[in-house]
Amino acid sequence: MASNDDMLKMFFDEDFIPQAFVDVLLSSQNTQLNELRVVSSSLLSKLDYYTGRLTQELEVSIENLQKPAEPLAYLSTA
Amino acid sequence: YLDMSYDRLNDEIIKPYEHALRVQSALSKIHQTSSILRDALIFLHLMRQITDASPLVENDFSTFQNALKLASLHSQIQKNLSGNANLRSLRLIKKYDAEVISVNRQQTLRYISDAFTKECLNNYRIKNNPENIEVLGNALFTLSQRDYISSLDRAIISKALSTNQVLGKTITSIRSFSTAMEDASKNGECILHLEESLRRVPVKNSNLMQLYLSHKKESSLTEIFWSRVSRSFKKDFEISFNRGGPVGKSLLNNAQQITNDIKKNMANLGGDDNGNNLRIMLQAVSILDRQNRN
Repeated sequence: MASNDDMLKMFFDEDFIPQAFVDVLLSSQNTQLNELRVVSSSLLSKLDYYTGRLTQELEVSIENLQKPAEPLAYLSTA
Repeated sequence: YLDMSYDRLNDEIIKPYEHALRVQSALSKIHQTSSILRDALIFLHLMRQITDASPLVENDFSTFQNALKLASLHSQIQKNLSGNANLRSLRLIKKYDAEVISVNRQQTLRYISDAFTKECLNNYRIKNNPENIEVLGNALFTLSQRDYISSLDRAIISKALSTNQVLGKTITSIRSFSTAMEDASKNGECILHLEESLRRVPVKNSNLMQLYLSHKKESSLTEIFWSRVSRSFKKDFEISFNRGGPVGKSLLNNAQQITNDIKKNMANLGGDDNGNNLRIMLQAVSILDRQNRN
């Protein structure tokens, strides 16, 4: 399994296509269904973890974006 | 502030904004990936339940219940497949859909429609084991509304056909008409039981009978049955009558008896359409009235 960063980086790749990724993942397990379930469930929990982390990061970025706006707003009302 | 340097603008606005966009796009790709993966897992889970289900072999109530479970699994898996357009294009899913699901669905559909039609034609079981019809009707409707309608059509048509075979033979020996009419009304009574059983099965805030009748111009299953019987008997009856000769004459002489046999046997049939069905059946021999008047 790629180290966490590689996996996460993958989703930042412009031409990453979720559909194709899942297709390859499912067909690569040479149809061992139990194996497939194990791999998929662990991947799903990792994706949930990433979602949580990235959502936090997004909130921080948005806060940064809002900060400089305050003094400008102050300026315009002076 | 007006000459805010470009670097500060760049650092405080442009860079965080672009970063936010990148994070947002990654988030949406993660979401799409997990949603396709989850739907694929649901498909595989439903598939395993379908393949684990015991095969439909016997003709008993517990097998009919298994058939209903299988039918609802198939309907869930179809909903799962149509819910996410990308699912069907995954090679593994396409493979299992073609090799496992569609094959199982065909076998299940064949078993259920055969069993359902057989039950519809079994007068004894319609009266004594209506639960069979209810479970099988529900299973067939769940799996394929079109097949449910065509199977019920087939059952009515063959019931009417066998009734007409019995009735048709008596035209040349009209004294046996009364017993033939007795059989006919027994079949009519079973159609009424069939109708009542299917009416008891709730489906989509309606019921199996109402949904069937919504595709028909008639207002009840018994009306469909008696209209077919009457139409076909009328044809045979009038051919023999118009040919005249001994058969024609005996029909004319027994006109009153024939009408009474029809009234007597159909009088005690239940169902709110019964008066109307009696009128429909009497039309089959209406040629007798015209003769008597002139």
